[in-house]
Amino acid sequence: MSLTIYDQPLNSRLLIGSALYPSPEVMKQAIIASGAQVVTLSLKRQNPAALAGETIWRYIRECVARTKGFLLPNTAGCKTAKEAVTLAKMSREIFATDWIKLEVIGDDYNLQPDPFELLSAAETLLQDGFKVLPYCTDDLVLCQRLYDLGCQVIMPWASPIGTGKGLMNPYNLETIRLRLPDATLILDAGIGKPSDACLAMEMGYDAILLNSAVALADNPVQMARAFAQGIEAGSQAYVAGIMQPRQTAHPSTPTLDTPFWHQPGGQ
Amino acid sequence: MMKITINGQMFELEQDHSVTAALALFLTPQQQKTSFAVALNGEFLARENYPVTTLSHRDGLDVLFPIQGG
Repeated sequence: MSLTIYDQPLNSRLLIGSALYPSPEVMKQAIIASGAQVVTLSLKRQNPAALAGETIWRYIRECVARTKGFLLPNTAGCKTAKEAVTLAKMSREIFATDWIKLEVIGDDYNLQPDPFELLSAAETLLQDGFKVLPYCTDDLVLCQRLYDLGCQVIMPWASPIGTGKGLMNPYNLETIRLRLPDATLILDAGIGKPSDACLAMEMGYDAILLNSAVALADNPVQMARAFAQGIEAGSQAYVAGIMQPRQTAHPSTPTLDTPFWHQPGGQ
Repeated sequence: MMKITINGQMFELEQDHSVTAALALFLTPQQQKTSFAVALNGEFLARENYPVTTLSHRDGLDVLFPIQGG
């Protein structure tokens, strides 16, 4: 089965960011190598004379055209619901999409989402027809509230943005999966290694959103492929059904017809 | 004359200027063809409303452009 975001089927379970790459060309190559069909981007003030944003925007458009993909604008940098709603509306006009990765940051030290402002912004945007993908902490009650509001996709963090610390609290993440079986769960932020992504997929997460782990690798293009493979492996493993751990050893090789010298009285 | 800000930079304008006129102070004709979106005093302003929205003294415009993001 493919990943579905608000009824839109996608071929890849990896969503990828467009920031922090050594160059626009490396960004383009890495995004294409990842196979991701969803690329995140943002809006900021810039000196328009530089036209740097237009160049990046052109590269991102090329990537999305190549993968027949979709843009996912974010509200990075917003600290209140009002700011996030305004930025979402500006994004919808420029990028012609009602998808929005909703970020409302409550703490500058670890970029932890503000759950109260996040809920408020999500409610306003959903009422305005947006398809909201909220970036949130791994708090079950917060995830439940977002889902109850109408967010079909929930995006809890693995660990703070850009840390690469992996899954800080697997128990919380597994609990969210168990308690919200019908939500599309995308693990977002803090992933460092392909094995982190694989682990989340083995838990039954639907997809992974990451940026730094690929962009900051020594070889982003190769790392993009590694993540694609790790995510695919974890997804296949979850579907295949992972064996339950057992306390005692069990021989893998059949014991029937064991050679004679292992029989009582054998040499 | 009235004073407004665009992305924090102060500009002086004649009274009753539209947002379209204000953007002409900030963006060259070529830049006006690029992708950007506008907020007026922190509220989204749809593109079709630029010509019909009149600015007042101390109004603030934010002009945002696409950039890379995670």
